Amino acid sequence: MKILAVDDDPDFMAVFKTVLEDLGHTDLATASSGQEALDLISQSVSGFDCFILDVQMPGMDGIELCRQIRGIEAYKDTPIMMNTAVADRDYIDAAFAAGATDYLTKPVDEMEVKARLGVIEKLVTERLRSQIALSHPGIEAYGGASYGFLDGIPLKRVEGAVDLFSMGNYLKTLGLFRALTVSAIGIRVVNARSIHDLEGGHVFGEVMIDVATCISDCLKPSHRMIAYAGGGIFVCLMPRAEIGDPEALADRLREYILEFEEVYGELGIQLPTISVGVPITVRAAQINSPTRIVDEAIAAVKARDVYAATMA
Amino acid sequence: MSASMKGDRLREGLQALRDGFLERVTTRCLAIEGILAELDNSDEGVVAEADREAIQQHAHKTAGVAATFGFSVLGEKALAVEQLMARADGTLPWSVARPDIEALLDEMEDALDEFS
Repeated sequence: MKILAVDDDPDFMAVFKTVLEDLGHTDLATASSGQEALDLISQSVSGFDCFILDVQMPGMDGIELCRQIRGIEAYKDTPIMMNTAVADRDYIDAAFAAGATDYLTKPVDEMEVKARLGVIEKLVTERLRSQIALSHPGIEAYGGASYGFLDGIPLKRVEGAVDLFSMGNYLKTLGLFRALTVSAIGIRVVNARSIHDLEGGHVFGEVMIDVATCISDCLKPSHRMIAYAGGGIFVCLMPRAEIGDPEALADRLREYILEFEEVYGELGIQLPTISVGVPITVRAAQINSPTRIVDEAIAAVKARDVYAATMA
Repeated sequence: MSASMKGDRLREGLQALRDGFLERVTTRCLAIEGILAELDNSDEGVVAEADREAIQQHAHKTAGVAATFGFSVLGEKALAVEQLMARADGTLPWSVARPDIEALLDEMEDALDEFS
């Protein structure tokens, strides 16, 4: 796994390099500033598999660098770890919004680096596998990505979108009080299966991206975090105080989706119909596993539709 | 290679870096003392923006690695100063900031004394 680590502090970089090498990560490039990192990225022939960025750097900070790396097509899905001291916690929201995958805390803890990079390495391996699969025959001729019904779909074009893994990592960064102020809400495309089966995996992916865009437009820009969970289900995180009535959110979302009616009609694609689950909040007893609210939000929106079908 | 040999290699690697860290602690210590000395000779009642940023940077860099080199108290004091400076909005009185900064300087000096 080829890693590019960026930090302006020579002491930290030297320590980090020593720890990474001790863990067997010897294919390591380093940069002391955001600009130097971007130069290395543009000059690299073989590219990088993972980035580790210090959050607080003079000039271009790690968040801006993260945003710029995400803007490069080849790195839109590459794992980006943010390196942060506890004092940087306020930057964590911004880092995830800029496309960070995970974070490490300073000072360096070899066990933490080992565990987190282990997960990242698995992600990198999976990415390589899927790239190999895509380069093989049998993929649709137009070259667009085709998705299975339960597959994850990258929402990189959508403001506020992260992958489910990053959303889980974000939840783990919240301390007790912040975790208690966050709600997760599930949104389900009720006719997702039908759209997938009738239109195929490529169109399905595009429809889900359209739905994600509508969700993004519905939510306050500063507070939205949206992830796609597969099977036509989305999960959104937002401040508990702002979540309001889920039915009002559903109505607003339906209005946004209706704007696609004409285009979808011309293409003969059925318009997505959506349902919104009840908001799920972290309870004090679950504070050690805040990511459970994501699973519970998914279960809640599924249960809502089962209940509606039973009552119909 | 056994786990203990691997651990020894890491410890040796970090020990080799510690001298460089202590050199930079010396430089930071002198820089922060310089800021405090200037303050003593001025009528400023609050932390000026440039001073706040400079102290925050010195504290940030110290906090990031001190514990890794075995100076966990120094790391905590540096983090406390970094957080104090990060929260300051141009109205932080020196009388409030100074005790934490001096505690950090004391800890820096202790670390330097220990390995001089």
